[in-house]
Amino acid sequence: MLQPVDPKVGMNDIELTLHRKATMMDWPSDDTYTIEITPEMPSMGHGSPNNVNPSSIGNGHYKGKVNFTMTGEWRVNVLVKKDGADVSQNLFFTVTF
Amino acid sequence: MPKYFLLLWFSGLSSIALSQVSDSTGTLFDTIILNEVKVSAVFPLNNNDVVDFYRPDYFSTLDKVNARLDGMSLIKRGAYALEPQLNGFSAGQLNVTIDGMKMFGACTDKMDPVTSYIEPTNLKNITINTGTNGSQNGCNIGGSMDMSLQEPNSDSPRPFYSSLGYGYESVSRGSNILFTAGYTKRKLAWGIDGVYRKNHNYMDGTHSTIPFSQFEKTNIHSVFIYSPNTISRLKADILFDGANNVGYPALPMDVAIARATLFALEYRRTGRTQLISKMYFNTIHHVMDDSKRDSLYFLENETEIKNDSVYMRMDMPGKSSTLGAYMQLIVPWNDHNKLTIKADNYTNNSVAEMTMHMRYAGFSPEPPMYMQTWPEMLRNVSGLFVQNTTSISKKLKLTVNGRIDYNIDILQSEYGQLQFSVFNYTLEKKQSRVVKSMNMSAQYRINHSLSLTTTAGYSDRMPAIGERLGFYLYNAYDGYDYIGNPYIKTEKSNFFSIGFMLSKPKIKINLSQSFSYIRDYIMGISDTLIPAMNFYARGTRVYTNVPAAGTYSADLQLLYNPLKSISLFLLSKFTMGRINGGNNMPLIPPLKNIAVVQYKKDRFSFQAENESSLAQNFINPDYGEHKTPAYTVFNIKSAYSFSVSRSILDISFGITNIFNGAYYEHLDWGRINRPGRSFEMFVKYSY
Repeated sequence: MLQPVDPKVGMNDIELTLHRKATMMDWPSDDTYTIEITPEMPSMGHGSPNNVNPSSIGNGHYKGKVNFTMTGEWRVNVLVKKDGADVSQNLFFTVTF
Repeated sequence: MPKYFLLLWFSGLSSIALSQVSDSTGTLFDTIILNEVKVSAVFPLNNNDVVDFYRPDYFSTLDKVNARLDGMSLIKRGAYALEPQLNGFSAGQLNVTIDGMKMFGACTDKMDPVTSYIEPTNLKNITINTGTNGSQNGCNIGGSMDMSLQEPNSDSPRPFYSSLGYGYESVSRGSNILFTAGYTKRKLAWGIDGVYRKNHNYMDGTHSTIPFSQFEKTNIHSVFIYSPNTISRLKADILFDGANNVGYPALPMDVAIARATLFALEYRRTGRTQLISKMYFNTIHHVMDDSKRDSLYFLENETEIKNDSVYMRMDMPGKSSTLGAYMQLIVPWNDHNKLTIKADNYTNNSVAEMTMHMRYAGFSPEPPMYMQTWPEMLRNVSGLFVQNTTSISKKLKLTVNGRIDYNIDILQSEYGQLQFSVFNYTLEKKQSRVVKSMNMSAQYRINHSLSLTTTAGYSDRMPAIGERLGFYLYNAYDGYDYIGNPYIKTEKSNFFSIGFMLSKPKIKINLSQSFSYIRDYIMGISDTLIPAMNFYARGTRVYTNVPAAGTYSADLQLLYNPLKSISLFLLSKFTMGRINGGNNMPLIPPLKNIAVVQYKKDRFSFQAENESSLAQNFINPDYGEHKTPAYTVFNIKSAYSFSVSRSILDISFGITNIFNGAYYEHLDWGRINRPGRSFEMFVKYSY
């Protein structure tokens, strides 16, 4: 996850890069996946509305919008799909501010 | 505490009776006063009958007075700080003012209506106007309530007067101490009044203690008047009210501090043309507190399928300050016309925050979660009110009034802008709007004792800060988190009322009916796309303009004096409300009656009161409503006054809810029983 670097309350840009493992030394970027994000505040049991799933902008970068309704510890759950099938499991980033 | 406030009515109404006797010209004006509920706290000292009976009622909070006012009901969340509702309208739909001064509660959850910062000892009288016709102090659709502050007792035979009283009520082991003092000499007058109250949790009619129903408060008001000549005077008021440890059994939290301070300076010039000009400032600080509540929640952990316990504490402070001024001129420009012009301006600054502290059992606390439930906002309102009253003939009087308010909201909090970006809003800092009101009324005297009043009017009102910018305001009544709508439209109402007044020496009847047809009615509508914020919230609701709503109200007051020493009084109030022609409006009280018999002779008085209400079956379950059963409650009170040389000792004894009935009213949140049987005793010494 490249962004948000400096998360704030409200709407934030979210940017992720996705690389596929070709060999041990070669991790080419890949723009052919779809990504869904679901932010949640684990301790409050709530999420946030109006998030925009990151979509590919080339070079393996995916850009979208993530909303935080308050400060605290957030978890951005990320679901990566390839041709409609889930390829990630239990993947999330923790954002605390 | 005594529930026998009907006495206020008696005193108010009997003063009308007196004024009518003295007013042999038979003008229309005497009957009109019926609409102005008079809660005079100091009667001329020679009028001992009234004083004796009335004095003990000082011991009640203002809520108990309000419950006996025409058309007024109270929304109850705890034993203290009940919220006034007038014919189905409340909060931002009402103008609640103090001597025409604007003041706004600082709690996002309406736990501190302005009336909670005023005590009966502070008050001279309360004036109520219903519907759109209450626009003198601001455009509004539901009516107005103006409380005028007490002044030094200029009728006192001695320059210095004072009194000290103590009251006890058994149901909450409540102690009430009150004092008044004053000094008047030639051009100067000074007065001070104060109250201290401490109440523990009360017991209901089933002998169960209601937890979190305690409260403690102190109130002091001082007034200084300088009259350089007979027609002009300068007045300064200072009022402080502080409540601590106020329990709200119907809510998930209590109040640690609710503190208000008010300063006012007034210049008044009487004569043929009357001028009042006033400057004021008031500030409210309100801190909610959930530290005494058990905030342990059980969360189901989806991955490990086990329950985790979570502790959460919330800090929720709120602040509201208002600075304002007004000038009012009353000009009788010829024999038949009287013109009132009032220009006013006020600026209110409000902010409320919430910080949540979360901790899983056995782990260190998580980083605090902060939000602004009312992002800091400044609202400036400049208004102009004009009213003309014309006496067309001896029988007919016409009143026309209009008001225009220019309103500017400035969102001062950048954080508030960011918060609302979550809902895809790009909030402008500034929003300005004009709201207006126009009313016409006619008073027609059919014959010597019967008269008729009709009013037709229109008004719109500004949405309150919570309705515009509220951010996850938890409503314990329906269980939803409420979110504001920054661009919500004003609420508009067409109002019509008709009243009959009969006034004969032994009997007085006042029957009034009113209709309000509301467009763009503001209410919370569920939004399933926005997740709720708390574990206990059922979902979120966003303030929305509903196309149409309507209310109908009928009020009856009857006073009958078959003998000089006996009075009978009946007060009935009824309201209905519909939204979009179909669903019931939530929080509408059923038919309620208060009937009183009073015997008064010399220094002794006795009063029996019955308060009863029908069941409320017209409910709106979507908004957390349940059917409320009917109830009836009986109260008695007796008082005697001793006079020893220059001092007076008043003693009063009463029983509220004699048969220890377990009941609650429809507007009581959480369906929590009201107090059971209570023995009350009052002693007051005046010098």
